[in-house]
Amino acid sequence: MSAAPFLAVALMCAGAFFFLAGTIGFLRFPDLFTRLHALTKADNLGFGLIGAGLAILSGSWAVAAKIFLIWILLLISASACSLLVARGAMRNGIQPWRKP
Amino acid sequence: MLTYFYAAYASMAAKFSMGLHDAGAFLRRLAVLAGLWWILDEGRMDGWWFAPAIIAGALLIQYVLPAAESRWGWSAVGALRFIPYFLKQSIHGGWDVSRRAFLREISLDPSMFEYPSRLSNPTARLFFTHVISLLPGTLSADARGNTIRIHALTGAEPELRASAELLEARVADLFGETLASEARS
Repeated sequence: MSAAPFLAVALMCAGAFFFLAGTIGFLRFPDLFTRLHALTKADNLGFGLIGAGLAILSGSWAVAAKIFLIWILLLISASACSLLVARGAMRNGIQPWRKP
Repeated sequence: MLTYFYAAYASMAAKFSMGLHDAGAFLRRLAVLAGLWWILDEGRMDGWWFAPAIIAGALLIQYVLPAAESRWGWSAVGALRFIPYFLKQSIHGGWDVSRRAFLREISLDPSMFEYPSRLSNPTARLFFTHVISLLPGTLSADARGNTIRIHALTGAEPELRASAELLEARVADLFGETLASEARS
């Protein structure tokens, strides 16, 4: 039995951990801007790791390339959405949270 | 198959009076679209009856978006240098934000600063604005013209500026652009 499935499962567990951490950060962080930080960073890494695991399990270069393209699209949408949300907040005068 | 492609190209070339220069761009787009088709089809080769649509797509891009070519210049060597840097920083950023999420006391000291970008290529600047949000501790909160407003989770402004400058230099390298070297205060 090869080590590849174990590596894939380890990568996907790590990815799930970062998704969980991103969600907990989203709930616990104090304001809109810091919450956006939690979502963009944790999802970038979380999906990257889950995608890497799935790509190994698929055993196909074409499927791996497709998962990679999905990751790129996810990165573009995550950063574009966070810019639009943060910009909307800025231009409507929402003040970022400061350390008390 | 090749004869078929050649015939398709020849008829299009006659119709749109394309020169040799256009032929190179056309072949490049054809290769990119065929590669994308291969990926979307997950490597199966039974979908190739769709080739005429790929050719039509290649031509459509060429004639509907004539300005796209010049704005997407990027350097392959720059990309080879950029990708490992981006992956390393992504891991760092994800780890950093996860650590803060799980800490009993939320340890954040957010700040906001304006960063005037030296990138002249609008596509490179847009790319830079987006990558800031994906890397550790920084988020693009607004962008007007050259100026990007960056929200930082924590850290002192001089260090944050220095890391933004490093990223900007990497993006300039990726797009094959030379940054104006004058020092900023």
